Amino acid sequence: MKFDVEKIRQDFPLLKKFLKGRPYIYFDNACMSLRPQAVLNAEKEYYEQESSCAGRSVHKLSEEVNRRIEQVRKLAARFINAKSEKEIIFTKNTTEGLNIVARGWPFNEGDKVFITDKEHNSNLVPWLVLKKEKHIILKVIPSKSNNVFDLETFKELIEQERPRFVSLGMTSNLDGVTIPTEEIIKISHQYGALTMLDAAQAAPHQKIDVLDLDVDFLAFSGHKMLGPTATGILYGKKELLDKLDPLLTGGGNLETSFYDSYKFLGAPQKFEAGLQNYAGIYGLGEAIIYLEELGFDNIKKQELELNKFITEAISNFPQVKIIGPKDPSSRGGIISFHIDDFDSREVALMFDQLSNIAIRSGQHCVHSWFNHHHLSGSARASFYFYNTLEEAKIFVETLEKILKLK
Amino acid sequence: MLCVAALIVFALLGIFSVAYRKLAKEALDCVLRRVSFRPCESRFDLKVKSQITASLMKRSEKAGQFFWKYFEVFSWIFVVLFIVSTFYTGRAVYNLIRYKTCDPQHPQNCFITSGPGASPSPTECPISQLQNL
Repeated sequence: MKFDVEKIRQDFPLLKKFLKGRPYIYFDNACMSLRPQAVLNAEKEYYEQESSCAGRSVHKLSEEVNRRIEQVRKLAARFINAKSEKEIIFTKNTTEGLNIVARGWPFNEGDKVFITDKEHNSNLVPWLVLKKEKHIILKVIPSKSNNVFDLETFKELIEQERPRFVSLGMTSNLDGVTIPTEEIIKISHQYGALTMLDAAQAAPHQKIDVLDLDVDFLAFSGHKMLGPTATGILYGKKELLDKLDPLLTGGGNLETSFYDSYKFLGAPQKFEAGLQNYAGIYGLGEAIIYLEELGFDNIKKQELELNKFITEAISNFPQVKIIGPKDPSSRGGIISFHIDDFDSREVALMFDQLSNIAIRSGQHCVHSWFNHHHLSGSARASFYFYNTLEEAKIFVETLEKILKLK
Repeated sequence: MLCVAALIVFALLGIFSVAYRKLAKEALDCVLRRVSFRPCESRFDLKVKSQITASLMKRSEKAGQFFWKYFEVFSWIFVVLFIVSTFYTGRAVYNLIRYKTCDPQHPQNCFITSGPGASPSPTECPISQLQNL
């Protein structure tokens, strides 16, 4: 597929929007991406044409919904190269996926879990809760001074500590740095540890091959990769999913129940209790098709071009400090920065007020890292393939204006 | 500092509309933090500051920069003016009810009771004038 950003932008209704005579510039893609018309149409189609329950009733509408949902499951399996669609669980988001594993795995007192010092709260707090409830031991692997994963320290620690579980963010939402996933998983397995990846920031921007990686569990969200809100995927190896207890129980995940007992269905249904977000899943399917047609090489190339341009421009302003490595190619589509004497919220509000540029400010759900580094927060611009160099130029011009305020 | 004035204004408006109660709550949170010497975590001040600065900058960058730099001073001036004007308004309303003029010392200065469209005082009542005829 030929990559034509102007043509692609026509697929996104929000990019055609003008506010007070200016176009809307959306640089908050690490929080949530925009949706193409195809995704919106798919959701609408469910409500208008096929609105009914899947897997419960026998009428034609229900059968059709069932077929479409299972079709999306197959698409999702293909998207990450899972062995079988039975390894694909529909969730609300990455947070739910990570919680299903953390809460459902049979941990014992004293079991060790490794995470990094840059984890999103979704991959920190579930473990802190387990530390409190099941008395597991949580070990935080420190990053290098430039926020890059320290493989040497990891090797040393895993040899000493022998954890049962290694749960890591594949790409950090704080600074966009991707960890050396393949090596980490290989080492973890050598020492008998299971692995889980929080791929919320990775799945929208790079090809993930779970078979190649040999990862045990992997979770990502739909809303960061063109899909509707409250959609996500949890991947798990079939034999491991069988050992996992579901987070929720109720309608849809039981084979049968008696007054004194119950029997769960097998994976993936075991983890999908209650009526599912069918419209969202329809939309997620379209999002996956859209991304596959576009190709991750094109996506990465466009993001990197913008990040390079902005990083280069920012390097002229000594009061602007980039979080993470200086090299934009190590940060994918994210540039997180703080400015001397500015509150990050002030910066984000000024971008919004001056040029309709949406960026994120604050601690980006990585409070632990900011608290440890005694920083109140950062401003974060995050790009996707539909952002343009023209938008990046407006961003830099606006930044210059903001810097002149002090 | 702006949150002090905002609290009073939005609290009053909040009596009539739920929308303003939320803003009043935000302003109250900010005031409580200010009086306990903690930074205001509400975005209220920041929103006002950035909105005004941005609209000034669209006309004159210098004016925007000046406002941004002295925002706290402007806030103080606004709050003092707000308190003073509230005091005078309150006093005028009291006088109007009590003495039928907002300025009992110089009734001719009270525009409500002495202006061209003002309601006449009891002594100037057209009916009584008619009766005198």
